[in-house]
Amino acid sequence: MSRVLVVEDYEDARAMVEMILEDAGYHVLLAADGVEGVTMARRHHPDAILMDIFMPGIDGIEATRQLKADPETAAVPVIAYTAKPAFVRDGDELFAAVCMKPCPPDELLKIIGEFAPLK
Amino acid sequence: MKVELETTLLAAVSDLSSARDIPGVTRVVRVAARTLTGADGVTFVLKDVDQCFYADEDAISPLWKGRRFPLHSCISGWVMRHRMPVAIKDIYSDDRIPHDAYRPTFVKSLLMVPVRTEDPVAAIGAYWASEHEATEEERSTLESLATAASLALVNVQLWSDLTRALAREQQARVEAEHAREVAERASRLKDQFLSTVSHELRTPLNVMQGWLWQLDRGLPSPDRFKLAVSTLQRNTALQTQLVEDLLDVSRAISGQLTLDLRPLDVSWPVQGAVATCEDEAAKKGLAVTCNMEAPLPLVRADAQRVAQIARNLLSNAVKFTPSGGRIAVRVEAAPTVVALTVRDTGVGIPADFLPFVFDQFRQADARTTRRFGGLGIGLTIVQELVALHGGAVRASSDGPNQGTSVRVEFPILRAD
Repeated sequence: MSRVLVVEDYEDARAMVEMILEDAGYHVLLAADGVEGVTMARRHHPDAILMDIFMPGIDGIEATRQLKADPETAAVPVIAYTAKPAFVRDGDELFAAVCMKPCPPDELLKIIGEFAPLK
Repeated sequence: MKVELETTLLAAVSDLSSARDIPGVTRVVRVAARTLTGADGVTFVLKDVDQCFYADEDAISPLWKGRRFPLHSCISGWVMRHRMPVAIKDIYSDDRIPHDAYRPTFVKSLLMVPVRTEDPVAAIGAYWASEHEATEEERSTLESLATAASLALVNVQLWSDLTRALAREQQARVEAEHAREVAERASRLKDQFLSTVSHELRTPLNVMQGWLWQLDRGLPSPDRFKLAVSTLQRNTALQTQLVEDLLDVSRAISGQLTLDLRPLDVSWPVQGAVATCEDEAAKKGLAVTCNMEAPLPLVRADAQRVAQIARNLLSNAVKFTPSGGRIAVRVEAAPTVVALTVRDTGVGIPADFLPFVFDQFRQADARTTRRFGGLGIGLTIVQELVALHGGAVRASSDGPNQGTSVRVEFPILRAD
């Protein structure tokens, strides 16, 4: 089963994405902020990471930088998941793809499927 | 003209050309006039509307420096009015001379020339202690000096106009620069705000879109259906609140915010506001205490707006206080006001941001790591509403992580 780590601080958004990905057949891992996201990625080596940008503590850009700097997690594709387009440009070479909120779930599944095909 | 006189005159002309103010001109004139004529005293007299002002002098004993005489009753006035020089060998036999003014002085003879013959602005006088018939050379030398002095006075005027114009221009430049900075800062804040509004509206929209997509695919299990409805309700409410806040700020900016003022016990709307925030606070593990004095004096207020003020303060307290913290709401009567205080144990406000907490669109931390959602307009709305009630609002904090306290005061309704 393909595993996707969802790093998102907004509880309602986390629950919604979890439901959509699980229904589609993914194994979903959840993290509520950047620090937790980095820890979970190192521990579980997911097939892809859906990363919110605007988060407490370290934001999605910083969390992704840390993942890319770590040989263990550098290869994991990170998809930016944000409602604030301006902030992604700062670090878009970091991201495998950008998913703008609000993002239709079909679109979300298509983008994630490119990096973490359903097995 | 003798060579030394010529040299003196040329030096005077040169000095006059670099004089930048009237004292600079008179200083050169009095020294040169005395050297050139060999007189026992000289004066430089400025025309001041209808008076002669004895601006400067150089003499063996004091003449009239600093004094003023009517243009019609002194010889310098006569020279200026008639636009011609005058030489008087015996001043006491000439009735153009005010003899009383001359008696305390050494003067027996004089030579007086106007400065700028076509429209005199001054006169130069030379005085002798013994009877002296002014020579043609003395007259023409003094007239040459007068011409140079007249040019120097024009220069002084131009210089001062120029200096003033430059100062005005510099001032205008500074003001324009300042206005530009203010406008740029406002524009940056507005861009930031629009970007925040867009983010804050998209976030709940994204959640709603996800759940609607799910519902559209067929009726889910009863549990999931319940979760869908409650999530949709919560996010719709969130967006409604954002839109309401935006409208309030827009109304406040255009002066359209209106109140329905009636005698009111503020503890009622405040209690209502506390009740609406309790769930959110409990979810974060925050303890909310409410302390209301009873009975409270009445104030003239709009119950809905008082509830809105309390809700805004409470939602800030919930938003900015970490789990396990405390929020204390207190309503009490002071001699002339009823005060509502919301105090929390949260992140506090840095001293350098305190002056700006009521500014619209501002939150202390505007980076992407910003921990707190919202538009940064809650306190702006509170301030506007409190002002419309004739009250006052004050925020205080001992600094980062020392908590925040906001106190709102409503004037007590008087019986009269």
